[in-house]
Amino acid sequence: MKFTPENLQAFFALLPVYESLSIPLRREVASIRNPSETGSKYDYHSYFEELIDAGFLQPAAAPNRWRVPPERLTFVRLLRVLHDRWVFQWPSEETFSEYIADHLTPAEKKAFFVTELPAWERNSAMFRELTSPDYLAGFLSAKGTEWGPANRDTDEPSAFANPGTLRLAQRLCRKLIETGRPLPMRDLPAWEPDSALLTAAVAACIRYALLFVSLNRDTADPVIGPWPTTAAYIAASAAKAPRKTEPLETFSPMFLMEDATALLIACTASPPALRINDNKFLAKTVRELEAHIQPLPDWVDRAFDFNPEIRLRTISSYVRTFGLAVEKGANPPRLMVTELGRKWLALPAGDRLRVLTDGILDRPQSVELFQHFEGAQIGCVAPQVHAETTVAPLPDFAAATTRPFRELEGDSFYPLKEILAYCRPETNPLLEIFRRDKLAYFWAGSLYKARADAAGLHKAWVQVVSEFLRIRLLPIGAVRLGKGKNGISIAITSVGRYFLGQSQQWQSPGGTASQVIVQPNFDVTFLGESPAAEAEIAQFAERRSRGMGALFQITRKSIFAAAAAGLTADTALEVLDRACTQAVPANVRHEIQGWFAQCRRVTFESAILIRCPDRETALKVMGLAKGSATALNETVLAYKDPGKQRPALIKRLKDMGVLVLQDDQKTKPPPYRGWYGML
Amino acid sequence: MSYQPENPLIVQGDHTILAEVASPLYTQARDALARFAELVKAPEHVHTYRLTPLSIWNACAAGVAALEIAETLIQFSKYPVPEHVLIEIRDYASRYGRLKLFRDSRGLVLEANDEFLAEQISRNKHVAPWLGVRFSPLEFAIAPAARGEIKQALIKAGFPAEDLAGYSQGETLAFSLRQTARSGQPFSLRPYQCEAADAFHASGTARGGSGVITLPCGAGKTIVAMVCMARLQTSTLILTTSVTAVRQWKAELLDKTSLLEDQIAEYSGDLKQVRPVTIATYQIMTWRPNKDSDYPHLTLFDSREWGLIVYDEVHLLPAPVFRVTASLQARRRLGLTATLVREDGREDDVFALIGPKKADVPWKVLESQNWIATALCTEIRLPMPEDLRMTYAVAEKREQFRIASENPGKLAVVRRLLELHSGEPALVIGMYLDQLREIAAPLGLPVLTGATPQRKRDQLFADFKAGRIRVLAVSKVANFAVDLPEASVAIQISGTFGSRQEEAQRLGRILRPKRNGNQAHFYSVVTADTVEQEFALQRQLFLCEQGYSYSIADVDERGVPAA
Repeated sequence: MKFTPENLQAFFALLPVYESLSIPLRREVASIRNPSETGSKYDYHSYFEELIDAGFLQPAAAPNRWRVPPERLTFVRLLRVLHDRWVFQWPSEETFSEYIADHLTPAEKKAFFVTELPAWERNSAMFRELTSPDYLAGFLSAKGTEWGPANRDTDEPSAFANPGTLRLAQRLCRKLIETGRPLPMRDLPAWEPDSALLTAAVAACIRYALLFVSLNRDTADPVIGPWPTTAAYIAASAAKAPRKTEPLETFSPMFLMEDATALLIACTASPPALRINDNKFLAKTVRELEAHIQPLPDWVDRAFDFNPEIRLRTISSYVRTFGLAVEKGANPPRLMVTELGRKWLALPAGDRLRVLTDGILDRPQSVELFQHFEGAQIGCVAPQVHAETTVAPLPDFAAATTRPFRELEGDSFYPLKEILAYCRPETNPLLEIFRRDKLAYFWAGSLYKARADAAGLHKAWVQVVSEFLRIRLLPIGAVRLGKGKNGISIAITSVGRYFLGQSQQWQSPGGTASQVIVQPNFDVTFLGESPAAEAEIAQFAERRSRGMGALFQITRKSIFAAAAAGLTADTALEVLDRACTQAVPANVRHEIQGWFAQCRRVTFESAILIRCPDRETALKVMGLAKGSATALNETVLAYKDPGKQRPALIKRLKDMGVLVLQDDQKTKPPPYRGWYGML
Repeated sequence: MSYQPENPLIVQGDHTILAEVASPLYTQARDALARFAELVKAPEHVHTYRLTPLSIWNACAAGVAALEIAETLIQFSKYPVPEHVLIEIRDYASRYGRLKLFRDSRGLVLEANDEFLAEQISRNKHVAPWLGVRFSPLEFAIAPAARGEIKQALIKAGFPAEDLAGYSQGETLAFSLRQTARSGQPFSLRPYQCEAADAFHASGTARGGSGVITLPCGAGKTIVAMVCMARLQTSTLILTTSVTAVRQWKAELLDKTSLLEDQIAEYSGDLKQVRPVTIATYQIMTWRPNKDSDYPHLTLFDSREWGLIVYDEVHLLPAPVFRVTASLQARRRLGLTATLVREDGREDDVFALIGPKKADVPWKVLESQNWIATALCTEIRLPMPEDLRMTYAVAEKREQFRIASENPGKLAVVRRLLELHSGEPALVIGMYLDQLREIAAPLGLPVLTGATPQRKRDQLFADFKAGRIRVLAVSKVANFAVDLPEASVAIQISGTFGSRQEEAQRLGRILRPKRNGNQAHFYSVVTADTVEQEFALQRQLFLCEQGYSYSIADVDERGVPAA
């Protein structure tokens, strides 16, 4: 069923009735299959009675059959058309094609083709044409009423023959582009009291694919709006520069360095096992390591999807890339901290971050320890954008990616929405290529764009910029995050300015003096940051908290674990004496030495127990076993077979009349001797 | 805000606050923190506090605003305070005062400050049973007997009620504190005692009149109670832990106030008197003929118009007394303790039913001001005798503890220690009576146990105080509420499975200020490499967390502790 001015009148008339229904009932009305036909009550599920009460069902002529009342049929059929196409939720070429098939006749479709194209290319061409911002922009600037599809039947009057219709349609489109999202159709009558004019304008917009109609998934409201990517593109062209804002809550992420520190500390204490086939973390290891990294505030997690598993897998790549940890061993291999990694931990926080930042930027390292490091070779801008095109030279993708952030004033917060909305088409390098080569292919990370359209490329570019923020700027602390009435906002930090090339001067984020104290109650408290000391102390103390004021406790259990790993009391005390700013309390020293001294090593060895009936037999066995048997007591010997000598020993014992009963013979039943006791 | 190394505090995301003692601003920070944070532990260098909803509500009840709390933390913090902590402080504080409990012509009324809150609490399954008739969208009737329960339930629901219902006056009892005790000694109040009493009394306003005062043993909690009684001038019921404690209370009241003998009564297993000041034991209050019958002596709570009820050693409050206390909310209530640490974790109930903490002075502070003695804690370890090793190895855990505790080698250690402290008044404290007797006999020590008749106990205490006996062997009875001001050495030869309150009480026996120097010694004699040593570690941790240094000495082959 198509939207025409006539049936739109009926549609608007019944819309208030529909809107008075509950949401589940609305969905039920919209999903009535084959509204023109009758159905049994079971076809309407559990809403049968309510549909009748609401007037959307009445008895049909045939017994036990029901139908939509004739006066509501058009409405329900139009709703059904809206129900099936979620153009605003999943705008894609496929959804577009299905939508067009529903709403346009073949002749109306054909009217859009300028040149004859092979059949398999028509839908794509139509998609690119009608979702192109130029198409909508061209309509908005049209003055004459002849505007319409290029190949339309000229005998048929233009839908915009009435200038009033054209002007109203243009006003509707502009308004909907401004709002940035589809609006409920129930709001349209308020914009134009002349219902004939309104329905003519809306029908024309739908027919010429200037506006699209669908149902809101959450409320089942009929909604109308331009194609999403087109609207965003046009809005971006008119977007204003982002304005400063004051967030209510802020957060300074720097978790790349913090996660690396935490991972290395954890690896020092207990190197985690890796998968044999690809040297990645086992799922169990990821769960265990999650406890070591600082959680992010919920709102940051929700906005940027930094779940702990992603962070851990990312950071394990980083530490290997930078040579801070390496896989060692087999069955299973483990991630071990290198000497360079230990030295990196001993650096102040600012230097640790600088090593990572310079490495990502592939700049020469300022920290002497890493002078020979040649850079991470991972690209300072990510995701990296590639293009398969005839255009040469290619635009500077890196500069274009960083531009939206370089334009911000440092240390001031700007709403992220506005920053992304301000990614203007004229600064979009993908569009720059597309204008000159319509057949260009693009890919960036998981994004792949072939046979692109302008609006789609705009959206893809915004995604690239957003991803750059997420995977490069945020983790190294190049931005601070804010949350307020304008949503998420960001502010560029001094690290950010260094990273973006706006400043050559590295300004370390605030560092702290190392201060570690061992208390008489066995608490080891870190009043300042000292990851190297944390890594060492974690080997023989249990962690109780992390972050500033990190706390460990030395317990008997932790000392036993350290002893099992080969640590000694002297080593542990030497670490404490070196790391701590106060003397180790005497009782703590005494207990550490005492607990280490309590440890004993035992070995498990396999042996065979030989139980003899008396001492004499035991002596005979010992004599024959020639040193392979040890007396546990007078009648029990432990026999360690030096190498398959057991059968020979059994034979020799048998020759001496010492019969050896194997374990299984003891439980064997005696042989059956027949009725007369004979075998 | 960047790193401020001079500041003493680190505020962590889990609401823990670390306070660096060495910081020049520590004292200021500590005094400020005490108003809204709970002191969790105070070992030598870094003290740990915790912000809880209850601690914040108590602060609000004392007039501290959320902004002040946040500003204090920011002012004294080394690092930026986590934002969510500041937000949560605001949130918790905002809940205080939204519900008020007051009295008017309709009786006891609970009023919410908005309808949403009123609806929320009316649907809360813990609160709803205590709500009576709904007078209006915002007001509910509360049965007077449910005043305590409703407060408890509202705390659990996360919305504390500000109790403005006031107290019943109680019978008037006019008396005053003496300036010279009856014993002839001059008597004056210490500053912290006055401050504690002022905090409780709150000039007689509705903000005061109920609460807990936490002061170390030997700091004079009894004096604080007497000051409160004198301010209120009302009949008082005092609950304490033993008959000995009852008599000590009586003696102190007669010595330091103008009260007369016939105004003070003892209510215990021996006597059942009720007078304007009545002192009873928890044991008698919770006695019943069999487990199915009621507690007949709980009627003491209603036998007079008590204006004040004092709960001595409130951390030992038994459950039946808790329940009765819930219905006594119209009477002023004062809890006294050195260690508000209950092994059953019901500290919140103490605060809800007795009242919030009004004063809490750490042991080390009073020690540094010489109000209590400085204690040196030493653990002496001796080996298990060879002939007991196998017996120990194969025994059950509980039996292992006993074998280790009753190590015969302890006798030599005790003898040596008493020689080291010859002439000083000392207590030898143990859990096992046989062991006590075996150690006391060769050393010629009198033994005081639960079976010792009251008269003999009083005689022994009197002899000890007078110096006629220098060393006394005591069992559990001496743990609580026994006032032996001249004991300067305590030798613990066995303890009760690491109970923290027991440890604190034992140390408390020797913390009272001494006439000749203010040094006290606390020895714990423990068999090495046994479960006794493991339990001793828990006690050691507790004492370290109170701020005491703890040294460990091993015994040599002669049985002599290393120097």
